[in-house]
Amino acid sequence: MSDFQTDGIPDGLASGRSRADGGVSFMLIGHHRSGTNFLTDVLQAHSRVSFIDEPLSMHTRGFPRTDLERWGADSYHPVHLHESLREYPLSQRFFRDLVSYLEAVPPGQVRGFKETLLFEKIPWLLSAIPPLRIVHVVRDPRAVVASLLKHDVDRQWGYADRLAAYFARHSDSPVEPLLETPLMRCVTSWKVRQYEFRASVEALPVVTVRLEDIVQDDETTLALVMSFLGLEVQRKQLVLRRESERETRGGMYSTYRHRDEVLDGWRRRLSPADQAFVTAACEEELHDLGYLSAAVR
Amino acid sequence: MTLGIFPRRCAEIRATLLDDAIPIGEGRRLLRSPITAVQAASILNTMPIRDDPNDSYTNVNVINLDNTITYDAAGYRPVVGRENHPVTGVSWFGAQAMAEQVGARLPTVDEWHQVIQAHMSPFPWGNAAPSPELANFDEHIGRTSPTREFQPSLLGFYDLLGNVGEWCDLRNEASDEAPVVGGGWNKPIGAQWHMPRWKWRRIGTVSIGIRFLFDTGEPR
Repeated sequence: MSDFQTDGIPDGLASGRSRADGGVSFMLIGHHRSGTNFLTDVLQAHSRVSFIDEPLSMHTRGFPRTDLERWGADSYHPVHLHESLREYPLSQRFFRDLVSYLEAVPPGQVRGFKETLLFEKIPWLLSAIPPLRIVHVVRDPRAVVASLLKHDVDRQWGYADRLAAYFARHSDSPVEPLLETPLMRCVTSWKVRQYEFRASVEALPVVTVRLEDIVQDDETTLALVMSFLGLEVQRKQLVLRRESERETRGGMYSTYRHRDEVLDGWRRRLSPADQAFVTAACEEELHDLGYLSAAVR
Repeated sequence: MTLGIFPRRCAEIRATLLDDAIPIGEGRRLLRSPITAVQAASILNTMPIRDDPNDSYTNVNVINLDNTITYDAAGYRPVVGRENHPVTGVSWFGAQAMAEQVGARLPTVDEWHQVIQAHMSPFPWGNAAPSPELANFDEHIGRTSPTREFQPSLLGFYDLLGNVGEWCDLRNEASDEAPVVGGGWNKPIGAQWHMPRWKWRRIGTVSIGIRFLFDTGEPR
């Protein structure tokens, strides 16, 4: 299925094989404003799924303060976890407790967590939390950028400083450092994290799913995600998914968003010039993810 | 439970809370409403614990600024404008420690069920189906609300269902997860609303609060 990428899934994982001594642990990762909260709620509506919302980004300082600092598998430190965490003993302890929690998942159960950062730390994470499966959620970057601008995420998360530090640290990045305006920084943030993710997950247990496919064909798409986690879709997951699109309500992180807003809201929010800018800047990724094909509205 | 000897400030807090607790039988009282942010700060500031907003935490998630309580050099304090909202961001360990500090404990799931059943109605507020006028749930508001904003239950409790979920006691059960009851501002109220959900004991989240139970020994 072209809409649902299963690149790099080792034999057995895609068919739902659990770890020999227990259940499955996984990480859901997606850029800010890509529908990660929505998918989190749908996943944990399953009776066998326990879930933690951004344990490293919203419960520690050590990880967000090293955002966009690439950590390789060989940089795992037996004492400090990583040299960059040396000054964060409580963050280290929190991480160790998280690993213990994930490793203790009972047979037949699934434990997961979500992050909107850490794209560039996946090799390190996989060396620290084996065996961890990864569900990667993507959304049309034009919709992501429109939502980032609407919610002022560029300022709240300090994209200017984070991206400047990234390009200073990683001069080998092929992403063009467009940093002058909020629009440019939102585009660059998305492209950088997409690049870092793609560069680090080859031959790893990863499934990439598009938010738009969950909205437009929830049964098929959720079945593939749940199968990847070794489970079948439960009816209440589909009920929640369908309820979620009936109206827009709640705060910035609400699961309830009208279907039209999720799929097409960006066309109204971004000016034609901004749409053209994002489309041109992300053309390769839009093609790779199937957003420029006729299959997607 | 042995009540022990409390510092004067803890005894004052305990007396205030106990005054606002409702007898639930067999020498027990359950708080009328979840612990507020201002109440939590007053308790935490009597305790020899410190969470670090520049690193991480054990008791209160002072990293996530969406919670209703923060910590700085002066100690724990409620977020301005949310003083009377339920405290959020408290881990199960923090909830246990805070309860012990004032001679209380967390209710068990069975005790919470007994309270719900004592209402003799489909929902704590009566027969009416859940609506945004009756409770804060399912993202209708999008955040916590003051603990006494909605009408009390038929037995006088506030926020038994909605606003925040509430950590429950494990009764020595070996588990890295603990039960949470009572829904929350971001949770739907489904047919299974009376069933607990289980969360990792280590985390303090934006939708989980606490409500103390006092073993008073007094006759019913």
